[in-house]
Amino acid sequence: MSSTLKGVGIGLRREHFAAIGGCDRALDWLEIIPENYVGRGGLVRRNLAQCRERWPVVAHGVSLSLGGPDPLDLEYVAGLKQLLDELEAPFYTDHLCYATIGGRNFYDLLPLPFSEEAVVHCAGRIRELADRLERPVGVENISYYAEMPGGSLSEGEFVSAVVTEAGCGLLLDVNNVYVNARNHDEDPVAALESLPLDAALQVHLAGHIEEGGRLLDNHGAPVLDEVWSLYRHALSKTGPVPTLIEWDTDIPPLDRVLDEADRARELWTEVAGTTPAARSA
Amino acid sequence: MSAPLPEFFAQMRPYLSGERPLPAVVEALGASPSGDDNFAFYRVLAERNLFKILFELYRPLRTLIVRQRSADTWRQLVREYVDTHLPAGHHPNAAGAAFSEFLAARRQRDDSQPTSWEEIADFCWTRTYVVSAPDGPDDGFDQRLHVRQYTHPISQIVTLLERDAEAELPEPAPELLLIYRHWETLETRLFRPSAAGLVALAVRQGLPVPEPLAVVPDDHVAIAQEQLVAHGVLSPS
Repeated sequence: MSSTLKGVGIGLRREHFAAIGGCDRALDWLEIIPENYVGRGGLVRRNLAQCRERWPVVAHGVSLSLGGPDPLDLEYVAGLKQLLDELEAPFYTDHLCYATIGGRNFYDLLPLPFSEEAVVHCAGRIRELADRLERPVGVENISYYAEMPGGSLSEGEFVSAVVTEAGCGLLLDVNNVYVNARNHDEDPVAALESLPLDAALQVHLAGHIEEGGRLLDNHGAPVLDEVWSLYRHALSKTGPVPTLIEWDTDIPPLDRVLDEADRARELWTEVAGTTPAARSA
Repeated sequence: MSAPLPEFFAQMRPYLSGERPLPAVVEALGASPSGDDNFAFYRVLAERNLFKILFELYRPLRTLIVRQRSADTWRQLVREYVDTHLPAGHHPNAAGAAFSEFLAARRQRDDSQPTSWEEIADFCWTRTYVVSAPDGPDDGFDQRLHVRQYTHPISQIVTLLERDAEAELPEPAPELLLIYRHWETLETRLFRPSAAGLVALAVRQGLPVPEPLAVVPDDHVAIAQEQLVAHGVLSPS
């Protein structure tokens, strides 16, 4: 699945608002969390508009609860579409999970049973969302700390079935693949290859921590060497898919995040055989 | 035969909310192939998320409550709040929006609870809200500007608590305050308006001037309006 996005981007966070305007390092695009912008104003919107003048911007949501039981929040979806239109975002991504049940938001990305019933449920909602947003949707493979009861598929089979049934893209989170493989005693490469890589429209890279004997996907550390290796392998399968560095907790100065982006760009360029800028030309 | 998806959600909602123990959920849905410890971790995460949201929004208030009572008191308040106010809304901050109202209602049942708690909560919420309040028509006056009358010097108390958890706090004294986003620079600011300033705000908003303020001379109001414009409270008309 191709898009107009090329190269390596970073997540735009308010901690970097002051520094991003003066950024003179390589940076190909930005990703925002739309919940921070839909229906909101002030400096965040002004800053976003200024960033959009320099970089392509895409949106990666955390709250649509695509696998949840509640109807899609159509008022929010309308505001989201307006934002995406303003950004001229080529696609929209969210997570293959649920977050809300009966109006109660748990503010987390919660795993579903890997079942055929959940595949049909999610796929229908993803198709509805794509129709309402009038653009392709991609879903991210989440980190999960416990496999939910009631499943009959593996994670790879579940994600593949949803992507096929919904006709959507995959946001391949390589750190999540690694975290899940470690937490569930699986081989990371096999876990990666079980995902529908031919549908990958974007890649996420992030750091994680260890807590209580499990790896916790907290986006609060540098990308681990093992995850870089897995990323290289992922690119060898997907080709040069646009890649994002996520850093959401214990956020360091912008330059440190851009150092990670530089490292990703080296690998991306190696696979693409050319730099993002040259590829766009 | 596994439970259908609606039953899964029917079990997970009370489980994640802390209203149903894991064994009952396992009995209804079956065990997680990953084991009970890993299944139980999701309840830990769900509670942790809400505590984090409340902590981030109301950090100075937590500092004061821990100092005046205990960390357990803070935890109890957050649990009571979450149990009575459905965490909802796409932005996490929405989950904490009614904390001041909750504390005010709670004080009616517990007169040992200081008024300053709900006032600090209101200040913290309003200060956060105005940062990204929707851009309204004209200069967004209705959303980005909030007038507050506190019984304590809340802005000073919050500043002191943010600087030093053990700081000596001022005695109760009324504080009239504008919490606002500068119409042009978009910075969040505070301003202490005069009586004439309140009249100028009422006039700009098209509201009737309250009786006690009707005696303020027009030339004072004009000067106050210039001050409000100079501080970015109002845009030049």
